[in-house]
Amino acid sequence: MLVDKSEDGFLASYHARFGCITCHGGVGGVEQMEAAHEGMVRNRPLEETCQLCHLDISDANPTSLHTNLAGYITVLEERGSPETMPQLITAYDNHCASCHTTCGQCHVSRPASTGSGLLKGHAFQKTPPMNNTCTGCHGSRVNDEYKGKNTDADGKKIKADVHFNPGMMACQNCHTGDEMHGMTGQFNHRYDGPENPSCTQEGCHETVGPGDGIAQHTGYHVNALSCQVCHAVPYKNCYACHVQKSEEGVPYFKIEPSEMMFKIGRNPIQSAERPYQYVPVRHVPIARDSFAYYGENLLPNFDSRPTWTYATPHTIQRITPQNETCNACHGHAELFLTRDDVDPGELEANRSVIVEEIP
Amino acid sequence: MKQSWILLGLGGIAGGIVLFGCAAPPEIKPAVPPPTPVAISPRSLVAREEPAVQFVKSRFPLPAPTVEALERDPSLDDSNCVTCHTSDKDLKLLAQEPEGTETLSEGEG
Repeated sequence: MLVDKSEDGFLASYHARFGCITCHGGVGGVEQMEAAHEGMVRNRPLEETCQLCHLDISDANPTSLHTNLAGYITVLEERGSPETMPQLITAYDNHCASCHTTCGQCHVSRPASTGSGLLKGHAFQKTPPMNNTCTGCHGSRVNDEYKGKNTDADGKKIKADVHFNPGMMACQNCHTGDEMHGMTGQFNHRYDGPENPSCTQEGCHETVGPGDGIAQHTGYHVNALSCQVCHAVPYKNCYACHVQKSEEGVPYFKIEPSEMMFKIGRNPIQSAERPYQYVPVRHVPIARDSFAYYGENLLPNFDSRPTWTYATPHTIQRITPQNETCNACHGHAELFLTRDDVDPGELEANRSVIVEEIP
Repeated sequence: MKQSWILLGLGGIAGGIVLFGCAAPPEIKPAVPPPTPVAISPRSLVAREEPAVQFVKSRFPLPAPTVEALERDPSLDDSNCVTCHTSDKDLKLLAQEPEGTETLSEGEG
């Protein structure tokens, strides 16, 4: 870990005043590396470090989904059972928990799950650089979709999300620090609670609706369809992830190849906050035997949630194949998730999202 | 007849003025003046021993402050941390390759 010693680098900053050992532990006044590193902790709990000054952020931190990964636990609890949760938690600890973040893993270094490394000579970054932090973890789907790194089934390049190009918006422009720090409330999943961010929130597309000059923005459409139904293009869908450990105890996974696809399904989490009837749905890489390494039938309630899930793809375009004209969408069964699109073994799980009658 | 009475009345008035106007004025006796008010100091209400007045300049020069040197805990001395971790050459010399790089995973994460 090379620390920046330049005049305006980390050592000249406020955080350096605390000294290395205050935050990281270890033993001072010795010259041998092993002796100096005795008791050293790369990421000390924030209660012992950051919280000393950053009280408001620290207090809310336990409710941050990036900290508690509550979304994982929510889906495991719903598909699993109280009896199988212990094994599922073991699997989660081995294969999923590495995405857990600490303050330093966004504001000082890259996340540990990406291999760490200081962002800028140990300087504290008030706004983490998205390329090394956000998309360091959210790489396979969000990063590639947002930046236009995917190609469709025909090999044609899929454009970047307009918010990235030409919008030049970083993740933080929509996903604020308050959201990351858990200061917007406690939720059990990223799609729990109010839409945050929302396309129509203050300062964004507030005026979308009937009479805004766009014929398709009828009262029915803006209420029945999420924005992405008309404005998203194909995104990545993943299948059949299986986890296990090697003989040496190293956790690893195997996953089937992904597919670029755009599918409109019925909204499986319809609520006052998300009243839409139709939303894009994305296939997630869960299978009945994803955790078979850790025990048999660990997901007895597999069908309690769809495998084609509520999605907000970062593949936004103003003009899309389905919104060019009314007839570009209506009657086009290939745009909608039908029974033919669903694996026979997952029909029951996806009953709530399959579109039986094409609009 | 009426005019006679008027003249008689006026004459009487004139005579009275002459008689009383020439009389000696009454003697003016000055009244005893009120006592002179004295400002009452709050301090005078309570018997108190006033401290001796010290002039500011008499307190200077002030004695030099005594500073007790803090004994720094040597275990918190991070000078060696900084020396090593700001040296690219030293870090490369001491770098250890991470063990057990996992390469068994297949497919996108």
